[in-house]
Amino acid sequence: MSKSVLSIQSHVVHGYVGGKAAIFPLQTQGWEVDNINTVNFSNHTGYGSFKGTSIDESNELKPILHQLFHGLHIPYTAVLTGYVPNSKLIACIGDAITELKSTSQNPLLYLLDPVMGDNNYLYVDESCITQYRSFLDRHIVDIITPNQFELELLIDSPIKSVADLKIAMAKLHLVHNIKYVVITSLNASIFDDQEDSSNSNGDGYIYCACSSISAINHVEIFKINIIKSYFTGVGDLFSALLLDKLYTNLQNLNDDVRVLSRSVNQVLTIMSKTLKLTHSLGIKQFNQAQAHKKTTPSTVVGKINDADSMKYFELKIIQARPYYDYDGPGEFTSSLLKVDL
Amino acid sequence: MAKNILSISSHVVHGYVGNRATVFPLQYYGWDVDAVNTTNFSNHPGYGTFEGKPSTAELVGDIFQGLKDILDLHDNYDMILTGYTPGDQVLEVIYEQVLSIFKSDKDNDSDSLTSSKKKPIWIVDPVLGDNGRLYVSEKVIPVYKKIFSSGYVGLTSPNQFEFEILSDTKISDWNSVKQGLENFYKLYRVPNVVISSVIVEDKMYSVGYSRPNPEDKATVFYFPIDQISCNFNGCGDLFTALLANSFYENGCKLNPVALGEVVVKLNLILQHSYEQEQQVTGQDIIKVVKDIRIISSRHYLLQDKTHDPLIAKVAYL
Repeated sequence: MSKSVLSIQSHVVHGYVGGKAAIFPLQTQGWEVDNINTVNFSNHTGYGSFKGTSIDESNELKPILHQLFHGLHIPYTAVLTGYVPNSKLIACIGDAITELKSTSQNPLLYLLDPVMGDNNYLYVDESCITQYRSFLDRHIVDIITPNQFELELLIDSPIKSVADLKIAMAKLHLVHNIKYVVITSLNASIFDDQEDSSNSNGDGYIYCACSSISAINHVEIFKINIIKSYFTGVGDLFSALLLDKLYTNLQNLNDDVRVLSRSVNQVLTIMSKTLKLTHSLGIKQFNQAQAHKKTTPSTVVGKINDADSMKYFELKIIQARPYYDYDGPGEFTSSLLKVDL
Repeated sequence: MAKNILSISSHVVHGYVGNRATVFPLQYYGWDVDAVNTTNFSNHPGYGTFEGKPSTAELVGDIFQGLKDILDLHDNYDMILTGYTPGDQVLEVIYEQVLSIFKSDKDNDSDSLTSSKKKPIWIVDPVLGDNGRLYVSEKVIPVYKKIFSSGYVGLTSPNQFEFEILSDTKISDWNSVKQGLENFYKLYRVPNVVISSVIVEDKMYSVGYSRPNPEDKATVFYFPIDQISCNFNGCGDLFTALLANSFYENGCKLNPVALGEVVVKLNLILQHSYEQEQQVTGQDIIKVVKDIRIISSRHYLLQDKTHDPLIAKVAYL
């Protein structure tokens, strides 16, 4: 049977964020991907300049959603939403998915990536925060993939300890009825008390945490090495891969906890390979360009707002194609969050 | 090594026409595809109803400006592909912007590529209509004529209807095909032309015309196509994408291998789409396939068809 997903996120002409980071990996895994572009930009904002427009709510988004669901009656297997630039659009998407979920004959898997910002920097309109909070009250979300900052915004409380983290994740399950919660990146400082004291220099790591509604006490954490460069689109690729792996593993395994753990581990493994490839190809391309300009090669990292370095560190989504069908157990070891509430 | 292409065509949320038919196959072939969308529609009009809007000329111009602000477009792109553009104002902007990319070529010094491999290669699919029916504004026709006369187009891939309009020749037999191609060259001097499909004596063929330099003699060749009497929406867009890749990989030479490979693969994908449509609808005879099954036939894309028996069936005019 063919699997189809409606992906609602940004479009950039050049570079790999939003739909450009998510669609191709899904298509290589056999997904029919219908995509609504919430914005139509020349490039992502990390370059320091861009041109383009956002989709109009009443003249474009609403009638397009209506046409897909009521005109064409596309039997979607899943819906994936990412960057949506303002609260009006978020509300419109919420209404449409709520209706689709209540009328759909097949179980519809909805993954919400509540894209709002990162590292305490908000890159959507502030009204989006309250809109996403009321979004959660609709009980339509099956999978959610916030980063730490987004999780803090959603539950309106800072995450400073593993206890805070566990409570926040439990809330998403119990109050908002979300089946799978994956916190895609967490600051290492939260885990200070979980680490061996001999190796507490948390600088080079971030963490990823996941739990499922059937076992909210079982929070698994994965420790991830950071590559020191500025990459964009990482979260968008993560969500797309997670949807694919979770869907696939759900077909073959019936233990929710194992399905989620295996899926996250597979996604992290693919992400790690993709980022390493991006880093090494980026440096190679940068050095080639410098040699062409007849200046001395120097070391380079992607820097935000710097078009000259940014363009070499766009995710190598196309070149990473051989990684996406990874079906092994994953190369990361996880541990259980040790905290009693 | 990295290959970069700018693909300018329509966007539909559902279905596989325009950029939705070209972007994925090119990406699967390893191209980094920068997609400029000339429309933002829910689906193609072949469904009877659709929602959404075409891109304005202002937006398309802005997008190009945004790209120029961060990239040296001449240096960045190996190919530029232009496809479905519903209105003359947007096409006019595309014409001006692409021309400015060619004119921005700063390093004309001796160690840069020779003229035999001009970069970027501009591939133009002059999407006008099919089977005697226009599906764009007729005002785009003079703009396409201007584009072809610019001297920068490396390859074009009209269907029979489009070719007849642009070459001002009615095709009825092989003689008129040859005459049309000569007219087309005389008018525009485009070095490589593929008529994706022509009907001659009730049979369907794909025709290639190559004349790399004005002093060369033209080579004209053709293949028979297994005709499936069914209309496939987006088939021309997919054809152009496959042709763009095969042309490039063949060293930017249009010859029987480059074209034959495309004809073979396209046929496999259409055949697969037809069978899928039969299964879904439960019907034996299919008149229209609204969505080509590009994703589920992706394995065909990477098969080596350069030695397919069809290529030996090439005939020359």
